[in-house]
Amino acid sequence: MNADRALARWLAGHHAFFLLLQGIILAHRRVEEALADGDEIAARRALAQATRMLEGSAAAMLFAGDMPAECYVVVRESMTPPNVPHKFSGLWSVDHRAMIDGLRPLRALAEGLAGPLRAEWDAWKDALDRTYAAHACVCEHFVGDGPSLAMQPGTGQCARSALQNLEAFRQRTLALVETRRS
Amino acid sequence: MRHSAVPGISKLLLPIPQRLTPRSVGCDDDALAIEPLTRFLANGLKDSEAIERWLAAHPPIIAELLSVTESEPLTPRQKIYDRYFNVERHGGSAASVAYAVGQVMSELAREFQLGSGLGQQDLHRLIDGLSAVLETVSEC
Repeated sequence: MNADRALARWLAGHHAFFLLLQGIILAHRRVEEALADGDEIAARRALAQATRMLEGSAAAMLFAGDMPAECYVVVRESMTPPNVPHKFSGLWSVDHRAMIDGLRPLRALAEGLAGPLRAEWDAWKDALDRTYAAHACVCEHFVGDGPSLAMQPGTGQCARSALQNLEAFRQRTLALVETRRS
Repeated sequence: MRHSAVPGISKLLLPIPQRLTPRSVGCDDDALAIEPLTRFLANGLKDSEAIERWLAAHPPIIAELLSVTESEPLTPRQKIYDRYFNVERHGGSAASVAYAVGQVMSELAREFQLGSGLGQQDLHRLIDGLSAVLETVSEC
């Protein structure tokens, strides 16, 4: 695989990823509406769809990173200044922020869920966890314990590795949807 | 997803729905009608100058973009994609999302033909996830 092919692969995976991410955001809003309305059937359906899209986004990430580690050099270069703004990171993207914001109202609505709806909720939360795990897997393959894109030299950021950064995001995100069982 | 310094990969390849700004922009104006989108796709604007002319003819779109992109400038082509392939601001238009899914699937198919180490299970998850996108949007 040459540099052009590697970049094309990275783009293809991310095109799919961003499309899935927007679907996930919409599905989360439908979960919120359904839970607020007490519509269990609609909530379960929207959760199941969100789960499928989260699983798909994890696969999209694995697909994007489906290249030899040495090819990642050109991919990483495409995501550093001047090609992108300083501190660029997918974790700070508008889309990711929108997804996180969409999670915040869900916890209160999902407290005390039980039965099939609870099972659907748990499956969705596991899928959310796996999506971050897929990100970490790709990151580890290419960057190891190196710094993230947002923490390149000269940015004044603490020297947290890309993996540590992802793990922190994972924990914060899952904490947003941690609920009590009935 | 911006211009790259890498030779040969200087342009965005696909219309990517992204830069979603939830609930920040209304979608009840005429500019969101499906007809301009259809015309844009049919004409298939290729070069940046033509895209800029197209954008200049649609000032409300520029105004919207300013409100959502802030300090992050988009390429002319991205501006159009941002305008027409944004699920939220497009009111969940099944047509626009179906087009975007089709484009993504086409690109994935091409990549798969070139060879992929993605396992069968992950391949299924990827395709099924994209199907779920269509389902979700069609139910909005």
